Amino acid sequence: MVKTLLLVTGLLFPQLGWADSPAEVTKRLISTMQSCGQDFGLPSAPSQCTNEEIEKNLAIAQLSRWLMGPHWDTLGQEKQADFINLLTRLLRELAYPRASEFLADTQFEYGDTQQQGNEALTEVSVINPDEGRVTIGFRLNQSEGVWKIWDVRLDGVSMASNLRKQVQSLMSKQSYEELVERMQQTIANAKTDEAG
Amino acid sequence: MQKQRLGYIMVLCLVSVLGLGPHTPIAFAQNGAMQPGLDDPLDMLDSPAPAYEPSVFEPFNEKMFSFNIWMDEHILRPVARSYAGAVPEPARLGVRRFFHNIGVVPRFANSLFQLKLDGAAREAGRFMINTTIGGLGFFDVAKNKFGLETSEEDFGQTLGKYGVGSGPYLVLPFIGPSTVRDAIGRVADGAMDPKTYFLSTVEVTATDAGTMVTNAVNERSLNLELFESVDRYSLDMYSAVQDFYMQNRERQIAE
Repeated sequence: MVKTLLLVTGLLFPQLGWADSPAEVTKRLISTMQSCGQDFGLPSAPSQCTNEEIEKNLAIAQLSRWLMGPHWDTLGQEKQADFINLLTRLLRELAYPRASEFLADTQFEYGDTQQQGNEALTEVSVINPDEGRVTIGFRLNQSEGVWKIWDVRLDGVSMASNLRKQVQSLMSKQSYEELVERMQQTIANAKTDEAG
Repeated sequence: MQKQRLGYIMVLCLVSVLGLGPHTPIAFAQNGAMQPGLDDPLDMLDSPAPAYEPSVFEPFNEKMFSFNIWMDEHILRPVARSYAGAVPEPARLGVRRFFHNIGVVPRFANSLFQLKLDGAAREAGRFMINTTIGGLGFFDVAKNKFGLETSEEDFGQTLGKYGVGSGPYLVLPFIGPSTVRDAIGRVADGAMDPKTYFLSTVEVTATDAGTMVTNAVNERSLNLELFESVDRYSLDMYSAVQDFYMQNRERQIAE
């Protein structure tokens, strides 16, 4: 009874402190992907190996707004929703399968977590016999009491910043339509490569 | 696996494959680089992202970028592919280590300039060990047997360390991504080359050109597949490379 009460209270009021910490969210994502490995996305894969399970840990909608920057408000609700959808598809086709495959047989050391207000950085070291130690930084943001990952930094290089630069360059120099076309093309390329 | 995981970054890095001087971060992923912290107020998900600001050299840069890509597609990649077919990978890795070994002087000097005395000592030690028992640098005995890691420092980083701003982003023909500061640094590093004091300008230019071409072909041959995927997986290759270069240089200077 007490456990049930705690669980329900934690779900309803995560800001009271029962929500997972940044380190726990990071560990959960890595462990989910590790357990899926090359089975990720396959019909025979376990229930946790779905896009939806991965996306519970990711702040895709907030990331979409951040990527667009000053262009976000000019898009209108319909295009905003389209962009979030496209970004989700891009991550599904490009990021999750590759990350799962890699994480399946990699050793990790979990490092410290820095937290400042609603932002946190959890560091994880990957030990590789060829490359030595590579540091992966997971950036998280807390919204309504829930921590979600929005950036991955490989040896200090932010993937989100890199994508933001590309998105904003296209929005400034080309158009939203061109950006959409490029995203669709990239998704198609990833699908072709996966099938091949 | 490692290649797959780091493929995207490496591919971006290798867009500068035509320029294989000290500015090419070949070994960017070594030994747990420092992560930026949480102190940048612009780098928060809740903060409004800054508006896109193109480099003042953008029109020139875009032309040079296209030129470098064209050169790669039509000259460097075909040559590198043939070279890769003729020379086995271990030999090509040896060639990479040889070129790295002979570029010791700028790394040593810039480690000193930045008061990284252990880095300077490591570079001196590495050069002595690899040049002798490492067969002129074809084998990295210093790292494998003595644990001496390289100290990747150049004059652009030295300037950055002492507070000189990067200046506008710049794409150089044949060289690839740079900034005004790093281009100046590249000239300074070139002036540290000992042969400039023994050979005539024509001889130095010819030697440097030969070295650069051989190094570029060798490096490209070691990264044929990785490089090819960047075009397929980036939305805007020019800005992806620019951002990677700027982030990577910032990280190198902060280390």
